Amino acid sequence: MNIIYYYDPDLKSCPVKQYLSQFNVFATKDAKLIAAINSKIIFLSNRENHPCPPMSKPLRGYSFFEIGKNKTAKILIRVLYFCENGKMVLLNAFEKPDNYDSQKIKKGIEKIFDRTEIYRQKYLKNKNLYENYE
Amino acid sequence: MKITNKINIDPIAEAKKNKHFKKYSDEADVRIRFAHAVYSARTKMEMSQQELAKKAETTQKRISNIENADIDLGMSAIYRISQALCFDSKTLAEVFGCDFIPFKMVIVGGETANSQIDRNEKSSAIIKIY
Repeated sequence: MNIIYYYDPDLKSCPVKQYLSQFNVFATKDAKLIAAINSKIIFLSNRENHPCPPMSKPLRGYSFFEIGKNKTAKILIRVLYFCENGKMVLLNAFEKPDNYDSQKIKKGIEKIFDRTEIYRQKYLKNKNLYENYE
Repeated sequence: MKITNKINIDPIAEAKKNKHFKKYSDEADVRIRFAHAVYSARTKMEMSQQELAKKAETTQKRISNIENADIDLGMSAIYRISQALCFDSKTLAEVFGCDFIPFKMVIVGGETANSQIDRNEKSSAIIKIY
């Protein structure tokens, strides 16, 4: 399966690329993190059925899946993707606390999911909105 | 037509320029293969993470981290989990990317070997695995 980044014309960038670009790829810790995320994405791209637990999980009420990675003991990274016509489309990425009860955080995450659903719809309307994953 | 935005550098492509990136990726791949093997065996055995944790003398949180390929394990933890899930040598060979040499094999045109043949012999012989 080909892997692509969703490109958002309003942001003029790819949300996943934008998230990942915060890391210093020449610092050991960050390079290890990027390598782990990349390995998970490649592993999933070779799978036929999605989501493919435990590497990717469905999200209730949404048509995309999440790939998880621990950034630190208390911070989790989530990469959101969906599969369409033999392509694995990386839609969005964000981080969240490992444990939270706060309504504010829950609402914030829901907002990200809703925005990601909009990205998905935009891509489905215009399948040229992508950049290749290298 | 594909949209190209040259202002945005691909962070994955950039990370690949790090001379240790391949080593980090290989290590991540092993964790992913182990995670997948643990998850597959556990669900096949209809065991919860909690039950596996109890059997392997660890915590449910740790099992969850292992299945998410988010943790580097020590030898004793790998041993306890492999025992709890009855991993065979083939599964472990696949996880660690090693050659799997079964105990019973027939060398084509030769005699039956009931014990493990050494690597040099294996590399020069045409073998059938049973």
